Amino acid sequence: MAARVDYSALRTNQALIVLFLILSFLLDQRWLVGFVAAVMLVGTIWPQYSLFKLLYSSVLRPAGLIKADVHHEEPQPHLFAQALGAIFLLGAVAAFLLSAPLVAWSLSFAVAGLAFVNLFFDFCLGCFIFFQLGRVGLRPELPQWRGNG
Amino acid sequence: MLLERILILLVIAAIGTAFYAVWRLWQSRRLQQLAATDAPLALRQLLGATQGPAILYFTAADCSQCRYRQTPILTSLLEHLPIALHTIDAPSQPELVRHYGILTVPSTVVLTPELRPVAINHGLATRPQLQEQLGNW
Repeated sequence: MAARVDYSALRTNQALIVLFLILSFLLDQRWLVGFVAAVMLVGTIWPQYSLFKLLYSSVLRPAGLIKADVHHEEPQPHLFAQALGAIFLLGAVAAFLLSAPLVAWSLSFAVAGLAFVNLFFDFCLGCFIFFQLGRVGLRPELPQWRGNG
Repeated sequence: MLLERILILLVIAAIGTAFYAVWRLWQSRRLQQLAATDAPLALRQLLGATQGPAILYFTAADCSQCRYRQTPILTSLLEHLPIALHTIDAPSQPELVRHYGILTVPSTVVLTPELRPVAINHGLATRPQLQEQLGNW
């Protein structure tokens, strides 16, 4: 039996990442970049504690605001994509700390842009990289990713 | 300050849109070029004497999105249509992958009876999308 991925949870995650990163830039609230980085990092290491996905599964779905869209699929590519996003945002946080705001905002825009593309155009660059790495025999995943979509 | 940042965001959005438009234009030109050239030898060998319109379905053994999302869409769509579905293992057909510029799996190529491509879908192709493309010739 294959693992399942709820695309509504993924889309909620992507939408909130885009929203918070845009807000962080518009309002010049750099801590929000750190907040999104932390959410993505936690969601990568402990997928069941991903804050935005928990918001979906505990509030938005039970309230009937968003319907589940579950597919039989391996969650690893999506979690790998999130891991890349978290690394980029941690880089952005480091750049802010090193007084390099242009680099920091560029990294944040890259993450927001890719989440936007994934959300609206159904193209996941991180998943694409994951599959390409698989072609050369690499499978960059954490043990806890199995069955945690 | 806020207005300035809104303008920066709008400029970034415009640049992104322009890139997307250029990519779509390039894809469309490439499709026209492919439609004007003969089908590659590897495809003719693969299809043999098969006649009629066809869909090439590029997949891979480890592609779960292919197995659980694209395959059911194609199977149900083509159940009552006289269109052949050719499943191609992308890693073992590099010539076809190169010829059609396949970037990822699943990908689908909609072919006319003369084996001219009318659409190339990179990534998951939805049922309405395929239905529209199949009605385009």
